[in-house]
Amino acid sequence: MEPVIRTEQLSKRFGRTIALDQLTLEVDRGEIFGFLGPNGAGKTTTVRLLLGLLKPTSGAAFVLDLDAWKDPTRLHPRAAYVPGEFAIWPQLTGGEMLELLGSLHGSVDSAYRDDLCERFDFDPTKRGRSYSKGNRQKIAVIAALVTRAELFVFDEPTAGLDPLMEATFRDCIGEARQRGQTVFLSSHILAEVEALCDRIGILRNGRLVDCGTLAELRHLEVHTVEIRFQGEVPDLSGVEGVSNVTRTDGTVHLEVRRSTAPLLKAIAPYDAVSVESREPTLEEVFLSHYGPEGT
Amino acid sequence: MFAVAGLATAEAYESAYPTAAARRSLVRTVQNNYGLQGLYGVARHIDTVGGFTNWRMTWMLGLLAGAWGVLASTRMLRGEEQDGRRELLLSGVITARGALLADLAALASLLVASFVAYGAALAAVGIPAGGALVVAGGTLAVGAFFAGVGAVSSQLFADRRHAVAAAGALLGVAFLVRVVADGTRTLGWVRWTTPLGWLENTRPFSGTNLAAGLPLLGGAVVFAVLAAGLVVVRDLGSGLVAERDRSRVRSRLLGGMTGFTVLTTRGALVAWSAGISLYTFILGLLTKDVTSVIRQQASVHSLLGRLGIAGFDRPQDLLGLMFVFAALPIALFAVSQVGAAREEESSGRLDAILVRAVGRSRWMLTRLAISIAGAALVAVASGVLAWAGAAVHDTGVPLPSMLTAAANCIPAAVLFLGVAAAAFGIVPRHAVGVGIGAVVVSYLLELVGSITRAPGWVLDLSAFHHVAPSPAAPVDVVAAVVMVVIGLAGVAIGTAALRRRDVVTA
Repeated sequence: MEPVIRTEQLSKRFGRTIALDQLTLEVDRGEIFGFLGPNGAGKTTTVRLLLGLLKPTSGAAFVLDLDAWKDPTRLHPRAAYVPGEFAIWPQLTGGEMLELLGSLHGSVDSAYRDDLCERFDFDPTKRGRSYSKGNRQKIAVIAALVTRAELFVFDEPTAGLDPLMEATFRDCIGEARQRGQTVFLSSHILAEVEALCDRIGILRNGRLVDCGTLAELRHLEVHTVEIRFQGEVPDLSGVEGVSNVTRTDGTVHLEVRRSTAPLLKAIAPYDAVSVESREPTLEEVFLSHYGPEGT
Repeated sequence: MFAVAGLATAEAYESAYPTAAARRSLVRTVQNNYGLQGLYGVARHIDTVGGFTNWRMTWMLGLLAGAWGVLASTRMLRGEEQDGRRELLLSGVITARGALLADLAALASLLVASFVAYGAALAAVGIPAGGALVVAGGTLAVGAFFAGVGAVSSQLFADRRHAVAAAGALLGVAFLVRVVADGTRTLGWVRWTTPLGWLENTRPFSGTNLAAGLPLLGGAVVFAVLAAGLVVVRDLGSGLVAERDRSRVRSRLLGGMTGFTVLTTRGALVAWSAGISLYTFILGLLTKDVTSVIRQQASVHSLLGRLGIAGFDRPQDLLGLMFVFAALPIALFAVSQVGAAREEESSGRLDAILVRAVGRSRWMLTRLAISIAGAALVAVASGVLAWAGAAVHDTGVPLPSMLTAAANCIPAAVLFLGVAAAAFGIVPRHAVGVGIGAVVVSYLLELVGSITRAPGWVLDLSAFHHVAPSPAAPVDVVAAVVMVVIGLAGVAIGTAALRRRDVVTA
């Protein structure tokens, strides 16, 4: 099956700055793809390239089998986008903006729209300029969700939403997953990505540094292990993949990179009372790409 | 710019009226011509270089200084706040009042610097230094006065466009009151009610009355103090005039790009039409009066011809001149619509439109088509109102010829819209600058060039030179077609360029 999003060596320069460097990526149909990276990593540039708002310096982005730059008008009716900061029309009311955005998109399910307004606790009768940041964001989120597009492209969609609304948003993404819609979620909120996404890409200075399911990402990372011995305590610092060994009485703390097999082999002859291994959180995975080690 | 315009006019005067006799004759002609004086102001001591330069230039430069004051102060005091930059600044150690006073001080120092430059330039061409300083000081004091008005309106309205509209409307009224005061025989006292009249009443070359200009500076100070008082009694981001923040959903015009563009253009269209039509209406009113005065004088035509204006023995002649003046704001309206398109892009709102089923070409062409239709509507409104004004006095100018004259302004507007649209496609961040620059340079070229009798090719560069003074002269169809073709070519270039570039937010 052809992937919903496929980029080939997609690159974008702004003057001398390389905002995105040879991104090659695939997102399959029905997948919730998390796109992680700190501010300025190139997330928004990627999103704007996927939507044909920016012209690739080299490479190409194919979305729903269409070249995003060359064929945006055929692509757009099948996709929906929520920007990180939705720019409102100050003279229009929220309801008017939803009406406008709906009719420009083409098809709108107005019953679903009213339902979403209620779920997001959104008052559509106020004028644009009197909405708070969170409420402005709700307009963009609702306008995107009502389209029932095949693909949602979200660029930090929950910026400014309160935790309650964030939860509602997550529910909506879950429903989208059930309907078989594909979601490209660019975010720097790790909890959101960890909770929602099937696969995750990590972007750093315009380059994709890691990509895969959370398990796959973890696989490459460091596990923290605590072993309690009875009797003789072996010196494990020389074992392959092991680092940061500290010892308190019979208990040894250490970190294992990649496979744990050499470690298990090394402790086999000894009397290990308990072995506790903790998987790294997404935060640790993420930070390992940005901390001093990742540099 | 001020200095160059002043210089060119002074030089031209020296060569056009070298002898005392020629100048005396000019004085006699102009002094009975209330139409000309309505446009330019009361002619005082125009038999001197200084007096003439002052008469021909100060009315316009005063108006420009006022417009600059409004735009500069509202941009600093409301635009910054609306864009959210003020919030960051005020979260530091600076208070709202401190920031306002610092901005006003910056404006004041700009005005003082312009005053020195303009005064020096006038003096450099042989205008007596005292008078030159009064002209320069008065002109820039108008700028200060309206910067003050803008500062107050920035406190009243939460939306910069409303602040500009309110202050701009006041400037417009001030101008129209001055036109009425100077253009009639009996209403001279009305001049004391308008800031632009105070500027005139300083009489730089005929018994200087500095006290007349004091209300300008006094007003500027009073407004500054008022703004400083108001800025602390309102919340950041809000205005003192409460704006309706709720309304029922009007879905009538939200069904597509065309309706939506009409909806967002409507306000600007009404405001520009009202301003320009008011001007043409008042001049329409004055036409008959003026023409009858001119008819009684035999020597008038040739002298007016030497002023760079065609003869004035028919009402059509004055109306023709008036419509060449009206072509300027109509062209500016067209350029401002390209500015609105750029604003849509830079704010990020265009993203929301383009990611839906609207392509770039369709978006741009819909907008520009509605802008052209809007410019045409503004022109037609000004034509109808000019006719209505003239009809009050039974001037005998038929409506069709007024509508023709109005339509004659449209090709220049299309041309400048095309220039701005091409700039929007190629250098989006400078679209408005290029568009307005083209209009202003073109207009000054025509204004200064025709007074200085610049060579034909220089005048030919100005689009306004090709706007025939209809109804006094037949419409120059070839020129009109050429302007429209160039304008549409600009639209095509701009659209093609937009399709090939990034969408650039601020």
